[in-house]
Amino acid sequence: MRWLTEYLETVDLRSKPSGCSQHPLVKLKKLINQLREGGAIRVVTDERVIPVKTIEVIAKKKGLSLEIVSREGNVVEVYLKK
Amino acid sequence: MSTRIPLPYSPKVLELFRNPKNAGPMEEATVKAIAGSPACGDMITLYLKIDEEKETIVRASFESYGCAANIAAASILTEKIKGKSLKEAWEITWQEISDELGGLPVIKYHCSILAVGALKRAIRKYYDDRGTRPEWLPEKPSREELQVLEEEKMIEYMYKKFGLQVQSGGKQSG
Repeated sequence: MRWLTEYLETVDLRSKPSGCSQHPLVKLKKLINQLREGGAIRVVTDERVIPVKTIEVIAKKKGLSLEIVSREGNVVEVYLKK
Repeated sequence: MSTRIPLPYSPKVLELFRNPKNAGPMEEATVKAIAGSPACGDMITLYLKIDEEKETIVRASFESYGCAANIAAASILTEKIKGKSLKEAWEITWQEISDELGGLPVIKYHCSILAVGALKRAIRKYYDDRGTRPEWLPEKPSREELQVLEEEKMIEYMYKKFGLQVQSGGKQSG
């Protein structure tokens, strides 16, 4: 089992990508694929750009639990846990 | 837009979730205790470095497999007990931790109970390992210890009933 200090990486889906491979969604997918049992990722997104629904679909497909930690306007903070 | 609604976490909970203090294992810990079960979604390992002569907690750290509230509760607890005597630390209640976090949503009370339960288990284990028990340490488990045990047992029972496997943190280790 992995623990907090090793895993709590943040992916900010609001950041502007400099290229396709740098797109935060690509980064998020890579991190999710690397996630082991007990691992977790904090995701910040803007619902107008990448809706939480998208993250929910990815999380469900990968068997991750999802907690919406905070919401301020369109900005949502999500905690994904394997 | 997602229909999920975030829990009403206080600014303190959010701050500690984003920047937890004392997170990580401690190799030189005098004692460690686990509380909870990953099956129920929350589990915490608490490490204490104790000055054995003064019976004081020198340092504390934690590892968490849990939600935002679980991380925040463990973080604030490890800060609070630093420098406290074991007796003072024993007297901390889950309500105090919840209050210091600015209040927890009712369904997250168990996160605070889990953190304090782990602390009490660690203190009890420290004395059990040495074959002693100070006067202030009750023979019977505290409310938090009992609640943690109940939660672990319930999850174990449900997993057994449905033929699933559970990795329980119910046993102390150190």
